[in-house]
Amino acid sequence: MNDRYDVVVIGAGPAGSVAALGIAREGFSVLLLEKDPQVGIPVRCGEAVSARSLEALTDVDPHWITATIRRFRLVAPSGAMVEPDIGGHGYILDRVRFDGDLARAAVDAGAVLLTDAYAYGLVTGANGFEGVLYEHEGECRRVSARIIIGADGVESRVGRWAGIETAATLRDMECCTQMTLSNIDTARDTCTFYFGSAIAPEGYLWVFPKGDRQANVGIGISGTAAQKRRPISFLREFVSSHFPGAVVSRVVAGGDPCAETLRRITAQNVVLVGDAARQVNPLSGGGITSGMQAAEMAARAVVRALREKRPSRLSEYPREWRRKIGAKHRTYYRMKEVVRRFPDAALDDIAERVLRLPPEKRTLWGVFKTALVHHPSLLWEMVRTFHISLSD
Amino acid sequence: MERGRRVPRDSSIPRLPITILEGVCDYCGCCVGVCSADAIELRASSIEIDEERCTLCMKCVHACPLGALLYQGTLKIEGKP
Ligand SMILES: Cc1cc2nc3c(=O)[nH]c(=O)nc-3n(C[C@H](O)[C@H](O)[C@H](O)COP(=O)(O)OP(=O)(O)OC[C@H]3O[C@@H](n4cnc5c(N)ncnc54)[C@H](O)[C@@H]3O)c2cc1C
Ligand code: SF4
Ligand code: SF4
Repeated sequence: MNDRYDVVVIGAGPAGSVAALGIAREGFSVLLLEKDPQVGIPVRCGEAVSARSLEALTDVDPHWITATIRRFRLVAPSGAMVEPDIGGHGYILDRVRFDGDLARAAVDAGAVLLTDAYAYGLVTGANGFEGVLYEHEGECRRVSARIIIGADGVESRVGRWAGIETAATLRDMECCTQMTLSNIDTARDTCTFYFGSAIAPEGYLWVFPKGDRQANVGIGISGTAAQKRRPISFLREFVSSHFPGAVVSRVVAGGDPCAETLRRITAQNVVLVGDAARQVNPLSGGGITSGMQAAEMAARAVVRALREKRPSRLSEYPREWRRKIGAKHRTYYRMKEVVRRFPDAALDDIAERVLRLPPEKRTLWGVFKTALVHHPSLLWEMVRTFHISLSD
Repeated sequence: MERGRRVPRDSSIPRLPITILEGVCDYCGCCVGVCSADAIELRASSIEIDEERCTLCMKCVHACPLGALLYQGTLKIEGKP
């Protein structure tokens, strides 16, 4: 194996693999380091994406899709259910396959993938960062790179090593637990979201169907709420009351940084993408496609910087991100702050009012109008839900 | 400068009053995401807190979805019973 690459990418999640692909296919040498023994495992994700967003990024392989989503069901604290017409569709992915295929595409384009490779530091030199230190098979190694990409997810440390403050506040970190359940009755085309302080304070609980009688059932609540009662405790209670006969095939924890994008996402020759840069949609917590979009932008800037031997070209990436997506995420972040303050009683009231509408008016727009008239701030709640997987 | 590498422990520094329940931890990284001190070393299936970097801010303890980090409230001095 070489000890010198044009680019080292740390983390083979969707963002890292897409960045590696974009750079390798332009003929530059890329090393992709992944700490886990296998790309894509474990899955710490609800796996929901908007079809439109995903299709804009890649040709969708049917093998990635475990369910096609055509309906949303929103459950208010009282139990009242609203089913707005969502006017589009989404997918529940199989992220083991999805992440694996994205990494394979990068390898096919010429990138070198090393799993079981844990990055633990950067090498500092006279002209910025000269390389990456990592452990592989119990051995400490060092690799030189012209540009280093931190795609190391919610647990990212690459930014910190490069001098960027990346830690999320407790308020912004959505602390998650998810169970994959089987042997359950759930509509195969419907994502259900539960709101309210007794079920998921400062967050929401989701039921996303996954193939045959299976679902990802998870919860994300803010760190400030998690401090009072653990997400796993809320989830256990929910699952035992809603899915008594379920077989729990997997339980995972996770963190979803529902923050605004970091103020700096590059530092000298270091570039951050995906969760590492806090590029999650802060309202919905969805970060698969936004991380991939960022990675494409980053790859373009990196390729230009390498070709022209001008690291300053990297700054085109943060500019493009802010213009195309970052500005929207800033708005979503503000909406999230409003939604957080919404009391259970108001959520119940809006659900009641929507249910009194004739069925043909129960579109997202009908819900919007009702919300707007009776509880102006509830509008945000609806927007939030809408954005969970069907929009960006 | 090489960051991230573990340094030998100075035994005069009090032992960290945070216990990691290794059987409970899922190595998910939520705690690392909130740590401002870059004090947590999380590998695929191991986790360590660097006592010399940790500022005892308790954010990680609060954020852990599974409650795998316990704050013990008292400082133990290594070497003393
Ligand atoms: C419970 C939960 C549910 C979610 N549900 C959804 C959803 O339904 N839809 C959606 O769009 N998003 C969802 N998200 C968010 C989504 O999972 C992330 O935004 C997405 O995975 C980010 O991709 P990434 O490539 O930036 O990071 P990741 O997918 O986290 O990949 C980072 C990779 O870096 C590796 N790594 C980390 N540190 C190192 C190191 N030091 N050395 C080497 N490798 C390292 C990790 O092992 C990992 O493989 C959810 C998140 C959680 C926690
Ligand atoms: S947040 Fe909890 S479960 Fe996740 S890695 Fe940290 S200690 Fe382990
Ligand atoms: S207590 Fe604070 S500084 Fe120490 S490891 Fe936890 S988050 Fe980091």
